[in-house]
Amino acid sequence: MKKLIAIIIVFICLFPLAGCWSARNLSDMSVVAGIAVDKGENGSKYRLTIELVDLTKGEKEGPGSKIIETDGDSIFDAIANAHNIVAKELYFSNCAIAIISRDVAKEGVAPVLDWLVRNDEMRPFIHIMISLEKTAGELLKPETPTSKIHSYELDEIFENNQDRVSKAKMVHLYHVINDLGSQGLSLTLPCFKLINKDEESTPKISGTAIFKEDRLQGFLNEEDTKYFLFAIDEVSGGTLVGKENDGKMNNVTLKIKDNNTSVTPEYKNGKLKMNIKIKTSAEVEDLETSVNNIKETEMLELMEMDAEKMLSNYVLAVIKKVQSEYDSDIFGFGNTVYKNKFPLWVQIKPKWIEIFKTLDINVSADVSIKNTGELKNPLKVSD
Amino acid sequence: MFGFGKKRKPVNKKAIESSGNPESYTLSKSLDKNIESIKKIFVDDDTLRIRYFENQFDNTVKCCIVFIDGMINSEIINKNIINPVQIFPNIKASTNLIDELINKVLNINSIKKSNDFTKIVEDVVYGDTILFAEGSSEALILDTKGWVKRGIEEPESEKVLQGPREGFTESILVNLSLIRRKVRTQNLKMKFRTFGKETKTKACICYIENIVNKDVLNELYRRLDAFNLETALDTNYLTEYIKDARLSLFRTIGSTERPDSVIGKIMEGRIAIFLDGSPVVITVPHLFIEYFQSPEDYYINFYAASISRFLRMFSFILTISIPALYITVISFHQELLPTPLLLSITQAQQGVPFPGIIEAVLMLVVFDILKEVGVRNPTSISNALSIVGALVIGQAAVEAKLVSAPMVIVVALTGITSLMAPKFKGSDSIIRYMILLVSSILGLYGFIFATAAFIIHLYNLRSFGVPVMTDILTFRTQEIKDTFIRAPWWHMLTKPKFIPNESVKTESDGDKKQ
Repeated sequence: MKKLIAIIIVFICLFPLAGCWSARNLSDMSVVAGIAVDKGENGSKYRLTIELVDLTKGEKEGPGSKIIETDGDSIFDAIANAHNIVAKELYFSNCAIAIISRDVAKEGVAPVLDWLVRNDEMRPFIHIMISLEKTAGELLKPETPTSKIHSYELDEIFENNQDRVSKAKMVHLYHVINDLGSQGLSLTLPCFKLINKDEESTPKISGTAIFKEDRLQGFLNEEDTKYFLFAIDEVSGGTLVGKENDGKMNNVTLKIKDNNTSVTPEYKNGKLKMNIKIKTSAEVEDLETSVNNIKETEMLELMEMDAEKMLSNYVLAVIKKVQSEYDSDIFGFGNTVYKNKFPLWVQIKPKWIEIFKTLDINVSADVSIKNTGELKNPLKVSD
Repeated sequence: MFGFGKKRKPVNKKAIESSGNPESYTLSKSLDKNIESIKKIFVDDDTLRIRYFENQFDNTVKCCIVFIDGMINSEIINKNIINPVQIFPNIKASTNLIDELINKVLNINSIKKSNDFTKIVEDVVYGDTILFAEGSSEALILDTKGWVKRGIEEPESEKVLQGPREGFTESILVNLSLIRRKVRTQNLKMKFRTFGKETKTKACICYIENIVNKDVLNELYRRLDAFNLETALDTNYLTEYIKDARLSLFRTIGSTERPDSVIGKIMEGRIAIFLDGSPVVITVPHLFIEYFQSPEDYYINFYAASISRFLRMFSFILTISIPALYITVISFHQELLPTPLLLSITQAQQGVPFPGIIEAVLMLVVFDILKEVGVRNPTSISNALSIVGALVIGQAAVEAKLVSAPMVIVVALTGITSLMAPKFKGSDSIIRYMILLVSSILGLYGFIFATAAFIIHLYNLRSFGVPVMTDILTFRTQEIKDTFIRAPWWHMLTKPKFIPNESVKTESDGDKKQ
């Protein structure tokens, strides 16, 4: 009898203890692929552009996409208002991206991100990006090259960018939250713009947005972004193209196989200095020059030397640019001090931005070329 | 024939009662009286045959045989009983006539003397012939059994590609001979018992004396004593009586139709119970792992055997959990699905009128019906059935948007994997429904709860004192040698754990010393 009562109690306990017991049907949900946040018109605070996955087209065609626009005084208000347009419940677990317009970003991204983090459906892995166009919604509308659902295409562009070209910082929602809350580190977000080709436009990754606290300050262009990524150790692929005319690096393209950047703060005689060591392994991918009269080993050494020189120069140039133009420590130098020399950080924290702007930076690069592909020398051209 | 006149009389209760009980009759010296008694005992039974005959030299030597038509071998009766008595020259009617018949006349290998009608009746209905002689108050029970038996064939339900193809038949003596032929040792014990108050079915308890666990044997006898049904047609009648946890979905008693399988089991210390009339032999104790063991495992390469055994276990897990997992994922935990999968499932669900759980239960019931129809009907009908099943259920139902295509795949996978563990014989389907229903109410939490409940139940379950989960979830090499894998024969050094003396080796001591 006691056993029976115990079993009944266990079964009764099951129901309140099961945290997620309410069932819902897949066919009653409308899957959201991505959202774009703009400033609202007609008195409301936000205008949300939501891309929904369109499953009405039949199984052979596969899922397509539909764009809806909705206004509201907060992000959630706008989403609730979306149910004036859509019959099915919006489902955010498969939302891949959130685009924020420049105007919204200038006033601060934190209020926008609050709902994204607080909501239990939205994943911390969604990509956050800034639109360089007039509105953020524009980026969701044009056709994308390989996927019918535009948000998923943008999402995939990001996922693979660091392995393939390293021209955008991959930022997930949780990175943004971490960066916003870190000491001595300013937020950066990747940017998208539209490029026009035959009257059809396509979204394209284009540089990095620089923030101070959560407000947009300015932008880095594509090339600068790449060397910015070198400085913060976020490179795992892409190319190094010789552009300077001061060596054999000219017309040589290296493919980055692996990169490791370490930043160590050095405090001597009351002066802070940052040592940045970039260690890159690469392979020769494209050799468009004629260096026939140089021995192979010498050639590799020359290439390595030139690449090192070029890399350290460019990285230093980006750091200098940010130091002089912005009040944002986007490289996280302060954060390195915070982690490695905490007592010092406590002292310098109040005036960190001034220190950052005059910080001594020493960049050294070590490029090693692992192989030259299937050719040893440049292609031989005879008469 | 003899009872013709009586038969026409209206049957009243009293007549049946008084005639049916052989205990109320005793043998007398008068042949006619004895035959009269037999006729009364077998009133209304037209298969009883009575034949009088005499010696041709001395017609005071009068005999009469009684047998049941169809149960006997006529040739033996004609040549070895009637003929010798009729033509034997030097025989006298005397008090020891019956001994002279045994010693000099009858050419029958197994003869018993009896003066007890109860015993006589028991034997005559089992195909023996009773010989009454004038002037003797004892009768002879002559073994003349002979009826049509099914040949030894490979059992349909336990086929192997390689290995012995013998299967048990309905005749207990043939079945025992199949065992005895392969285990030629005096330690093989075969104890007869009868079950069923009316049918008096012969059963045989079979074990190897120096290996068997005596506690299990005593417990088995104790439980068999409780059997008090009037009939025992199949070993399952016994199984349900002597099972531990009688309401459990899981077996605690094994069954097989293959002699090689039974021999393997009794050589490991198990006890086999044969029942006349049933080709199915039950063995105790039964461990959970025996669900997944097939005789073929031991006849093929041990790598292949281990892989297919793993597949059987994996399939069992799949077959009880796939529909439940599918339902929990599509109706509770959509976030567990990768985006492309979510989209294709959602797309398939567009326009389907039922929620997932109803779809699942409907499809599973339809599959179970198809399976049952396939088993109960001739092969020619089963072929038509499979077409109907594949076309109507598989294609038309999806096109008519009655069920979604992923659900058809889920049910198909469930069905195929359920065939990988056939020894569950339907109990897997009940387990599947139970897990499915709990999961459809509570999601993944319910799934884990239901699974845990079954696992706790299994670990609680004992078969004749031996935990059914013995040797599962241990990692000592000698203990998993015949569970998750089938180890090579030279690696199987010790007998299974449930035998009390663990030092018993499968190899003989002589071999070990070499």
